Amino acid sequence: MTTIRLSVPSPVKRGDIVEIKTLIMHPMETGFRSDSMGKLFPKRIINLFECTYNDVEVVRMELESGVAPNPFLTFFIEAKDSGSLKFRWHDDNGEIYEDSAPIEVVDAA
Amino acid sequence: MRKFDHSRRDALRTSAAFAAATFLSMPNSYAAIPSLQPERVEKLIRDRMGPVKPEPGPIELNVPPLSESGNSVPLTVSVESPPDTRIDHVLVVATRNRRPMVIDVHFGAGAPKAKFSTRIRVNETQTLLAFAKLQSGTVWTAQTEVDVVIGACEGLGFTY
Repeated sequence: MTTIRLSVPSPVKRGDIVEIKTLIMHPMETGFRSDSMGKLFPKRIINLFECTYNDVEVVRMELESGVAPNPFLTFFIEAKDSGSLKFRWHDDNGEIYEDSAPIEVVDAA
Repeated sequence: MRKFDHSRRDALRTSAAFAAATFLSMPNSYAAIPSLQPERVEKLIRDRMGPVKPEPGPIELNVPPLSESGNSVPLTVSVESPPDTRIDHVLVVATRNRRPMVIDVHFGAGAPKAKFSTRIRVNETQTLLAFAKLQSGTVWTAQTEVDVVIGACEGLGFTY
């Protein structure tokens, strides 16, 4: 299993715009690199990242080899209701990495 | 003597016209630093953004003024959303990377604003382009120079 790191602030005030940060350990092998014998390492990158908040799509990012290894991605949600954020990374080998994080939304006092 | 003056003037005129023609026929109309593969960049933009002609728009592209290494350059893209329409997706293109496409971000119903950041690979000092497609069909564009001291794979005999 690969290492995934998420930063989802919680609790947050209803209506706040909240930044979500994600990082996944992945080599993002471009397919242009070769070993000492000149044999190419096959291309293997995270090509798609998806995030949903209470099953509503937030972002869908199509990545290319221009994204650095261990892709670090941040974006924003609007805190509406408590629930969960689901994250999915797809790589060239067809592997899917998943994670989720709870978020608690409170009304401003 | 008069003849000489005449021909010199002609020569100047010709060279000025030639310079203008060279400038106008520059293959890549977007990039200040010419792209390595303008056709590929143009095709990528057309495929991803449609046949619409992009117009300059309120896209903010944030990269450090100078990076030591092109292996990992922090990038933040922020598009100012007009009140009456939404940003559908945002494409980032590195004009002098072997694969010019960097990332294409689609914003869903749960995204309150069109802003994201990541870290990118930069092959060499070049122009970075961003395109934002609005739901109304308009395409906005912006560009920035990204300066790197050592490209992502300089000296290794390959590029991204």
